[in-house]
Amino acid sequence: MNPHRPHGNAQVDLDREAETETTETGQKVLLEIAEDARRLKNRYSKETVVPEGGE
Amino acid sequence: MLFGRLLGQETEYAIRFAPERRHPGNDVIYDALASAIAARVRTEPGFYPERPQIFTENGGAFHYEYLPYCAEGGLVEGATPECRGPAQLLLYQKAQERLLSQAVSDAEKTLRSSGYPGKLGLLKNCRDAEDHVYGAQESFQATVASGLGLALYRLGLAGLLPLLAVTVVVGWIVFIALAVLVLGAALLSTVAIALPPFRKRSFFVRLISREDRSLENALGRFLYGLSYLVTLPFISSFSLLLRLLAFRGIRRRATAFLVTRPVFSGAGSVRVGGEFLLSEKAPSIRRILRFSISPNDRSIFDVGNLMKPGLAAAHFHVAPMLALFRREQRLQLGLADSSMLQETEFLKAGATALVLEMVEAGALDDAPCLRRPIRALHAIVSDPNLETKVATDRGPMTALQIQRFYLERARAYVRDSKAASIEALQVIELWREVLGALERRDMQSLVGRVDWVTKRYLLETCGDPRDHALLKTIDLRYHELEEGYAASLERNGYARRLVGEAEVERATHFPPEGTPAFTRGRFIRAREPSLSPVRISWESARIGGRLHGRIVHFPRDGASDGED
Repeated sequence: MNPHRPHGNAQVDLDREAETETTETGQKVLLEIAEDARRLKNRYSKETVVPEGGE
Repeated sequence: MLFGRLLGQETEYAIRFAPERRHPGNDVIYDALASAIAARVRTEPGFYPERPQIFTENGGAFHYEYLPYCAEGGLVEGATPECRGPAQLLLYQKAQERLLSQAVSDAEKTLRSSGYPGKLGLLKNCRDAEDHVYGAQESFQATVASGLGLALYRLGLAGLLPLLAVTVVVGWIVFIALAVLVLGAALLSTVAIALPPFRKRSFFVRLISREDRSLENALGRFLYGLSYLVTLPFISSFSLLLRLLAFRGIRRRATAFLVTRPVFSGAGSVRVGGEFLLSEKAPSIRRILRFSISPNDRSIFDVGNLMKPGLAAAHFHVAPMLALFRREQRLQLGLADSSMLQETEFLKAGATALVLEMVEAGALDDAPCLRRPIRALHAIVSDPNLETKVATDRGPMTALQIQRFYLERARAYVRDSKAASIEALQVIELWREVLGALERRDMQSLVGRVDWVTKRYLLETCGDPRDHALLKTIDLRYHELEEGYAASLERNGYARRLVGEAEVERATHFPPEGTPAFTRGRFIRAREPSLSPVRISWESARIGGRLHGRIVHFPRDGASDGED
């Protein structure tokens, strides 16, 4: 715990590095996203419509 | 002390349900989610029985947000506990999302066993495929006015009390008359339901049915319109008072910051025709200051939270109204996109808190003023190239130039502050990094760090510009908790996590210290379930029944308990 922080139960770590950044993994993630979006594209928008916005 | 003010967030989550057979109302889904949350952490119901709401042991809350004329079409709203500082806010926002993510699979099982098998998901976004707008609101403790302005504000508020009293009396007369009418009709229907010719067309059957909500919604729409009319004189007068006197310094000196903030806080949005905007919510903003209780009256500074205490008087709750006389109030920002990425969430809250701090300290008296803020906002969010110049009192400026002004002022302010914290330095550092990358147009370095840049990257790499349905799916699915694309990037190491998983888990159970949420959360955690029923509000708890119950007030600094 950092003694200089006024609120000890929360701190962020800006030095935390992303864990896996190989191009290969990146391509795999992007391919999965593209595939998922194509699979859902005909129904996802309808399934997520909010009849009347809130607030 | 920097970051001494309270801050919090309310986030509306759109419900996605892909039914195998039939679709339950969203109110049914909310009930299943609330039960699932209550099975994981301690909860207590909210103050108003007619409003589905639970408070959790970490001091936050969930409720079902809906309009009276669309009871089955609402959203799940999560409110963080009051926090101090952007790090704490990020932590509790993530704790809220973790609770909801965990609740989704349990709720899915409950719905299946109730005859509603299907796939359930929650989207932390602000705009659906049909351009309905909802989403996030940010809250910051701020000085409503000071000196002569505060005296005039209080005087004006006192002058409005007789009008409020008349509004309450008229409201009750109308309500009682309507209740008599509806009860009479229900009684007639009950009699009619016994007669075969009327059995299937009964008003009563339709009124109580959870399948056919048309009558309930029509009644809700009528009552909503009526309450709008009855409260209009008071709300309009109060709005005028706020416009004249409330948060004047902040409106004058922080508006340019807020209008240009979407360059790093925007979630990005695909419009019909393929146009890409920086923000989901900004295009729907029509005013600087909210003027009515209509949900479509969207503004940069959303003072709806200050109007509600007046309306609470109709329930004979006068304490919230009296609280409006305080110097410190909750400033609510309506111009706020829901952030998926942790760096954006942290920077958005931290930079805004610093700007408010500087305004109140008089360090931004020469901040640029936009000539036409709403027009400038719409122009800025329509230009992902970030080249648009908007008219200010210093001449035409780009959004990045305006942000640079605020950043440099904040750097100097934090550097010269006697109570600078590491957290403030982290905000400055992140702001500098992100703004620098935007100025250099080094967008690749911001993928996984800034939402709109990340979403645009996914649209370009995974989408097809000729296929709007595909683009819109990427746009929406980006925001789904757990299974969405932002979550996928984070899981695979393409978006930084600033808070640890163990800390987030702990924050689902324990409230932030030194805030009003601390006592609220501790109260919920310590309560024995076998004792008298309890109802919780943000300010207090009622132990026992409505008439003879005991009220326990939560101290505003979270230090100790107070009772009356």
